[in-house]
Formats: sequence, C-alpha cells, structure tokens
Amino acid sequence: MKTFQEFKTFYENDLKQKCLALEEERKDARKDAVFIIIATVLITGSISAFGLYVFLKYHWHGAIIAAPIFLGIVFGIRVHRSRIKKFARKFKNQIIKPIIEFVDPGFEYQAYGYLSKSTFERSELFKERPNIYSGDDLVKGKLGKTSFIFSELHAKVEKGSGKNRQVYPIFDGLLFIADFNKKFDSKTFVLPDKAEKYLGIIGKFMQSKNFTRPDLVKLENPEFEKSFVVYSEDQVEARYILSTNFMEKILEYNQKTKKDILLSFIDDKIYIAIPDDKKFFEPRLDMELSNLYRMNDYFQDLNLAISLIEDFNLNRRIWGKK
Amino acid sequence: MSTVAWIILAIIVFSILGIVFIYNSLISKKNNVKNAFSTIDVLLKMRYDLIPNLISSVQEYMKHEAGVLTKITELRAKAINPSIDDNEKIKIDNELSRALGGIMVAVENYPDLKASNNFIQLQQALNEVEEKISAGRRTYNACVTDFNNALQMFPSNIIASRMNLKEATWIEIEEAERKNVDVKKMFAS
Repeated sequence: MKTFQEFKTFYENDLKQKCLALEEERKDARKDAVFIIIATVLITGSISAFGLYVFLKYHWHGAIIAAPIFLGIVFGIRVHRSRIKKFARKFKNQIIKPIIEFVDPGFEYQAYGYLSKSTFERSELFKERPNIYSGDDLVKGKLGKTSFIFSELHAKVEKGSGKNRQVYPIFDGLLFIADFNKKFDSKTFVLPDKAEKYLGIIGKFMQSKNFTRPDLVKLENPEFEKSFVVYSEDQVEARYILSTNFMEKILEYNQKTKKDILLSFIDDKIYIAIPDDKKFFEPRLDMELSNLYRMNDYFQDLNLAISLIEDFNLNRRIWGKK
Repeated sequence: MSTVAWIILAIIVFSILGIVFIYNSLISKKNNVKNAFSTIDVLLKMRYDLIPNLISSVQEYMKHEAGVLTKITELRAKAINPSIDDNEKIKIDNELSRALGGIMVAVENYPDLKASNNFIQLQQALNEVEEKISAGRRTYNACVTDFNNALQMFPSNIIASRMNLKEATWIEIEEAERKNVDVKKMFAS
C-alpha cells in the first residue's frame, strides 16, 4: 500500500505536470459549460416568450409555451452533460489512470468500463433486479495472491407505467469483488442491521422469519451483531468464514468508510458493496487541477477499495486455498 | 352465538396454536443442539484422519518433540474409540487442539521441515480443519444458547417445564494462546 509521502513524491515528480498540461482544457470546458447554460436559458426563454405571444394573440394551446421550455431544458442538459463528459474522459485517462498505475503498474483501468449487470446480480446483495443500470471507473488487478475487480455502479429499478412510473434507487457506490482466502460451498450474507438497531429483540425475531434470505446466524461479537445481520445456508461455514478476527476487521473497515457496507460470500469470492451517493473519480471544473490535497482525495478513494485486500488479510493463504 | 362466545373461542384457538408453535420450536431447538454436536463429530473425524500423516511427516525431523508426538497418537487412539461419552470427547478435543497447536509452533525451529511442500500442504489442511472445528464449536454454543434461552424465557418456559427438558452445556472454547504454549512443560509427565 502506498503512503501519502510516496503519493506526494509521485505528485511532485509526475502528476503535477499532467495536471498543469490539462489546465487549459479544464478552463475551456468550464467556459463552454457556462456558455451552454446561458445559451439554453436565452434560447428557451425567447422561444417561450414568442410562444406566450402566440398564445395570447391567437389563443393557441398552452403547450406552445410549455413545450419549448421542456424541450429546451432537456436539450440544454444533454449538451451540457456531453461537454463535461468530453473533459471528464480526458481527465480520467490523463490523471486517474496514472494514479492507478502509480499504486500498481499491473492494475488495469477502464474509465467507462463497469461490472456487468449479471455480475451485480450474482452478488445477491440486493433483492431487486435493476432495469436502469450504469457505471464507470473499472479497476482490475492482482495484489499479492488476490485477484480483484471493482467499479462504480448506479442501479435503479423503474416500476409502474405511464403516469405511475416511479424510479427507485437500488444501489449507488462501489462494488468490489475479490478471491476469498477460504474455500466454502454455501452462500453467506453480511448485511447492515437496521431492524435490530431500531426494534431490538423484536427486530431480531422478524429477521429470523425473513424468508427472502437463508437462515439467520447469531454471532458472539455483540458490536458486530448490532451493526450487521448475517444470513447463511450453512451455520458452520458462516462461522468458518466469519472468524472472531475477521468480524473485527469488518467492523473496523465499516467504521473507516463511515458507510453501511454489505458483504456476500459466494462461489469462493467475496463481494463488498460500499454505498455512496457521490460520483467517484470525476473532475471538478471550477477548481484548479494541480492541487496535492485534491489529487490526494482521488488517491484515497482508490485506496478505500484496494485497502480491503490488506485490511481483510485476503493474502493470508493458510487454509488450503492457493 | 354471542360476541362473547366468539371471543372466547378465538382466545382458545389462538392459545392452542401458540402452544403448538412453542412446543415445536422447543423440539426444533433441541434437535439443532444435537445436530450441531454431530457436525463437530464429523469435523473431529476429519482431524483425526490427518494426524497419522502429520506424525509420520514430522517424526524424522522433530526428535525433541517425540514425547508430544506420542501423546498426540495416544489421544487420537482414545478419541476414535466409539465408546467414549460426549464429555470425554470434548476434553480430548481440547487437549488435541493444544498439542497440535504446540507442534505447529515448534516447527519454527525446523526450517527444512517448515519449507517442505508436503508439510506446507499438511499444515494448510490442518489449519482448515482446526478453523472449521472452531466454527463448529461456536455453532454448537449458539444452538445451546438459543435452546437454554427458550427454556428460561417467558412464555416458552411454561411449556418447557412440562416437557422435562434439561439445559444443555456449552463447550469451553480454548482461545488458545498458542504462541505461548510451552510444549515440553505441557506434557511433562
């Protein structure tokens, strides 16, 4: 794991130059973005004003005002987004990619790649199947003996039709998948424990009756039990995976991220979902790129995922998995 | 029938359903305890099966630990005897855990042995089985806790006392301070 000191050296000797090289483009992108907003407002405004005139003079349908406003805004947003994405693409490839290669030259980065929907569903962390699904920032590699892959994902489900169309978010954040260091045949789930937190023993009782998940597993670590609810197809394998040591590591990591992480253990792999509404690895148009601490934020976001391998000791292969 | 009669009928029906539910739940928990114990049995057998291989692999190298190795062989012989009772089984399990842990620590003094592929594989297989046994013990204790809770908590304690159920006992888990085990001292006899 690279330290801040090492990152600082990397920044001074290498990254800073790349940031400076991209400054011109950032300023252009910002200028264009502002221009697009102003243009959209003016054009939409004037067409709508004309529409208002026609409406008042010739008594046409009110849609003549509403339509241009709606279309104008939609079109404006699209153009704005695509202009920003044009810069973001350059940013990801010229700034984020070097940061990733600094952490380990063997890591692979695809700026607009992301884990497939079937992979997401294979984690079985979320019961709903998404029909709106996107993501970016795919990172793939091997740290020590552990192969891993992760990306940012945005999964939503759209229910109902016509007027009743509603979009519900399923997951926004990072999904991280790695080889686990123990072999197992069954599925185990470690999920944030909302019910017990609010409802105590009654919550626990309801969790044991949850038939969308396999059997409840009651563990000995009270702090762990307060934060997580564990379901598994095999009580012994669940405890084999969740040793006393590992439970503490999960708690520590959970506190480190300050998010409610979700884990599942399926097919000799560990799936970890770190929910977060923020968009990772995106550039800010309004601030100078060449700033050590802002670049460090990107580095720390990357570390958040990769540190899982060390924090969970996944490279400790003493149980018969190579 | 009058409203009061309906209400009384409802209360009777729900009480009967409640009793049935609690009775079945108690039986289920009792069986979970039994099941968990037999799972441990299966895991212990896996460990016993590994021991002869371990002994023969390290015997040549670990001359100093010959005493411990003999003790391990003796313990194993006792353990696979079908006539021992459950408490004996647990005691032997604990002693074996400590002895095996001690050997694994002592291996540090034999770099040749430590590096041999054969031994490494054996060590990993043993680690896996030891951790699974530990998981098995934890599962058993969880089932015991569940069962004992049901025996003591209201309202299942009422039904339980009629069923003549006895509390189950936990397995003492030796969170072995294995690194600090002095193998020779342990078997000084």
